[in-house]
Amino acid sequence: MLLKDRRLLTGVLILAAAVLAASVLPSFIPYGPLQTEPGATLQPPSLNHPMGTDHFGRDILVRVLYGVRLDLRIAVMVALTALVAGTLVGTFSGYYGGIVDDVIMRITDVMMAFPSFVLAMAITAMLGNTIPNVVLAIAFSYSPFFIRLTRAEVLSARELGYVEAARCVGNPDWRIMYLHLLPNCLTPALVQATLCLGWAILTAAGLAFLGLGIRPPTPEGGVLVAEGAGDVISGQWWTSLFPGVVIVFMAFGFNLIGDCLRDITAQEER
Amino acid sequence: MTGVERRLRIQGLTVSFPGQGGPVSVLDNVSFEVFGNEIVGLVGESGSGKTMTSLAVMGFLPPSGRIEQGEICFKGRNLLECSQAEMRKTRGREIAMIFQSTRSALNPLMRVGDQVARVYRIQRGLDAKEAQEKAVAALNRMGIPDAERRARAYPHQLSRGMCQRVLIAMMVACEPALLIADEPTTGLDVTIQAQIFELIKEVRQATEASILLITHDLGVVAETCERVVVMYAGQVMEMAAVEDLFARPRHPYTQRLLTSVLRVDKVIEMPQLDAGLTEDVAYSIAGCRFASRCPRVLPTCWEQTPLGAQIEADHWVTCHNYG
Amino acid sequence: MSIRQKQPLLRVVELVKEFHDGPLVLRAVNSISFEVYPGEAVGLVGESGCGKTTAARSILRLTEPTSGHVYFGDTDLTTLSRGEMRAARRNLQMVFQDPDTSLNPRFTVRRTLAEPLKLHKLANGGTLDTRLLETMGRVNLDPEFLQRYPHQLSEGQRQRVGVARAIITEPQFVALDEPTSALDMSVRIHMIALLQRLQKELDMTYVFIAHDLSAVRALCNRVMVMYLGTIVESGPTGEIFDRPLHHYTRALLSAIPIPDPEVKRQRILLKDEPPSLYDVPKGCAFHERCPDVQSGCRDVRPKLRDVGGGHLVACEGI
Repeated sequence: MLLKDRRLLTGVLILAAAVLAASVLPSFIPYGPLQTEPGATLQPPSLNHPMGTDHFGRDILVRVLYGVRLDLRIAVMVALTALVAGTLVGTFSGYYGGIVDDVIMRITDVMMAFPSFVLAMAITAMLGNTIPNVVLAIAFSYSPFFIRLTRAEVLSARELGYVEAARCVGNPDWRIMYLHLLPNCLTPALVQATLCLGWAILTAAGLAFLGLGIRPPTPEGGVLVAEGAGDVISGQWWTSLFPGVVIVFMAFGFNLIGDCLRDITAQEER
Repeated sequence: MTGVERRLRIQGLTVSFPGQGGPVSVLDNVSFEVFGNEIVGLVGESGSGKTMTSLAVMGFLPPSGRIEQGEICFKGRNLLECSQAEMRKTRGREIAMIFQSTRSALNPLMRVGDQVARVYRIQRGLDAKEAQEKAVAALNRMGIPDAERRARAYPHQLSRGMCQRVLIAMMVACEPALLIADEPTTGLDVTIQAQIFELIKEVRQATEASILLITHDLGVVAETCERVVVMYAGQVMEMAAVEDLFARPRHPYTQRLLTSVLRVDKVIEMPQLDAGLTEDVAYSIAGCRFASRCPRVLPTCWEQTPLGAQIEADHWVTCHNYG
Repeated sequence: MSIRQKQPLLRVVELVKEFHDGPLVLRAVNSISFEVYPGEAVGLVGESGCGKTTAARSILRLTEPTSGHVYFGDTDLTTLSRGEMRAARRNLQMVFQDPDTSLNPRFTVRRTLAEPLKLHKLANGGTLDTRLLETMGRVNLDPEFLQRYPHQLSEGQRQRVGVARAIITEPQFVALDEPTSALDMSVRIHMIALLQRLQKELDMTYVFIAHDLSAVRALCNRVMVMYLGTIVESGPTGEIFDRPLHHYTRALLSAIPIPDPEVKRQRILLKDEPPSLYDVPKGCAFHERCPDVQSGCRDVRPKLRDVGGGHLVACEGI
């Protein structure tokens, strides 16, 4: 029934294709992602190399596929980290209110005052160019949204009877917050998490393009686009186009799913 | 009955809604009358169909509801055959309704005096100044102290009891022939409730309107109504003058209701802890809907819906085994 | 029957609860004092805004009292630390008013009922199951319902789960917040009968908060009438209902419709509406609406006086 929605279906199909391709296809390709072939540099797409080769003779298709793997992993890690951290803090802030809430809200205000990408850039630059740091940086820039969403839900839910009943029965505050309130306030955050996945991919790629975070020769969408960007002028379009299109498609797929989920949950609430 | 004129006559009204296993008739062959200048109580528990009946009269049934059969005759005209335009003219002017949730029935952005005045302007064609004067007078008659100042207040600035009075003022501005009051005191304190019912009785006195009072409270019925219609699960179970119903209830449902209702003036006997709480109104689709909980059920009750039988001058029962 | 030879189970002394809304102060509970003896069912009645629900919540420290003391046995609940108070809750339970919102929608009935037992370490494993089944039986609920979620139950069933949750730790004291107001007419008496039976079976003491006075009459042996944050009258149920002395109580009782057209009554209609809780009148809280107001009523706040037989009234004019 859910799959009848064309958006959802499209999004799921795109992602399914990406996951399937990234996990299965490389085993059928005779080249490794770091394998260079000095005699076959900058070859246009052909049967041997469906996406062509780059400066070092590396097969672009296999690099793109490995890039998809990495991007998916990063996206999921980012979404999970931001979700967990954001909802925990948001619940705490919404439940206690008062000064605690004020302080946390002002901190998130500051965080949100920076464009998220710029914030991620700054943190990556500070922490250093490793994959975990990239994940942390992007998750950190995105967490204020989770904090606010969860806090808003908690603010209204904490007035409900079952919260008072939970206190009456003898629950300590932490149980009320995380076992009673949070599971009931999770829905908007979960929807946001799917949207976060798309954004995370774009940000990771963007950071890599700028030389932050993931660096060559590690195959990753943004790295590949950066590597191939200069070639366009000399007529070798395939080195940056394919990676770019793949990034866009993945982000698109996540966004479709996220949009659709958001509409579904909004309808249910009515 | 206090007036010979038959103001409202509902005959064989059956309304159904789509349900999981097919259409569910929330009103099943409902028939009763309201005569001129009398207060009739429509009493029942949740799911009895009393509010649905009033919505049907006003033409406010939800779009998914289907009127399978029956007629609703107001002053001789079948309302179900009227056009939308005719219904709009009738509503407010001849039939008015007082709803349950007062604050949400008033426009929060308009002063209450203006809302009452608006009714006078639209329904009676008065100009702004006259309408305003009439509005203040109406609020005064409704017992709102300092009416002129209060007329300039917004609904959220008034208590719920005041809001209900404003609503009643709006509804009786046109002196309708039929006033439907659907649980008009829900959420109001008991002392305010008493005031509102006194007000309703005064309105009836002054305008000779017929009042259909929908309630779940038997006390209100006993003290305010002259005739009573008892409903259960969409069917009319019993109809009688108030004294008759309380003194000699004939339908098993009414009997059970009267013996189990809690009272302030005496302590009543506690029942055996039986199926009273393990309820769930799962009524049979054919036959009498009370069959599954009836202490006097007969085999025929499950198959055939009983027809209304007149046992005395003004006492009707819908039961195969009344007594 | 004199219950009073025992020590009171609950002793409330000069309880005050204020809410602050910026510069405005709302005095919801305006210094009340009373005692509840073991085995009693005491009704706390009044209309909206009288402070009865706030009083009950303050007593259970679901909201912190502004001042005053609440003695449960020998312990002053107001002096307990949060941890000690949590432990004390095993004996101080509450049945909440609205069955729709008082159950966690994501908890099965089983989880809702098992939680108090686990929190107070009263049972686990096999003994937990036994306790659960026993409690479900006490409230006439099919054990099959343990697997269900609140939205799969009817209103009455949810209300009974709320009752089950309150009694499962076998508390000494239970506050009941309008447990019948969400129920249909014919079902109310069954809930009262259930509550009565449970009280005897588990030897509990009740405080019954209600504005449905007919339910109070059926269940309680003593009644306290509140108005604008103070107790204006209290005494044995029969006394208060049949021979009310305070003018507010008399107006209140006369306003309640009786399901019997033969009973003709003189209705005492009060003027206006209650004043705002932000602006509680000095002196007697009721003097502005009292049909028998005298000169002293404006200045002096009357104390509860015993007029015989345990009947207390706060009025100078009686």
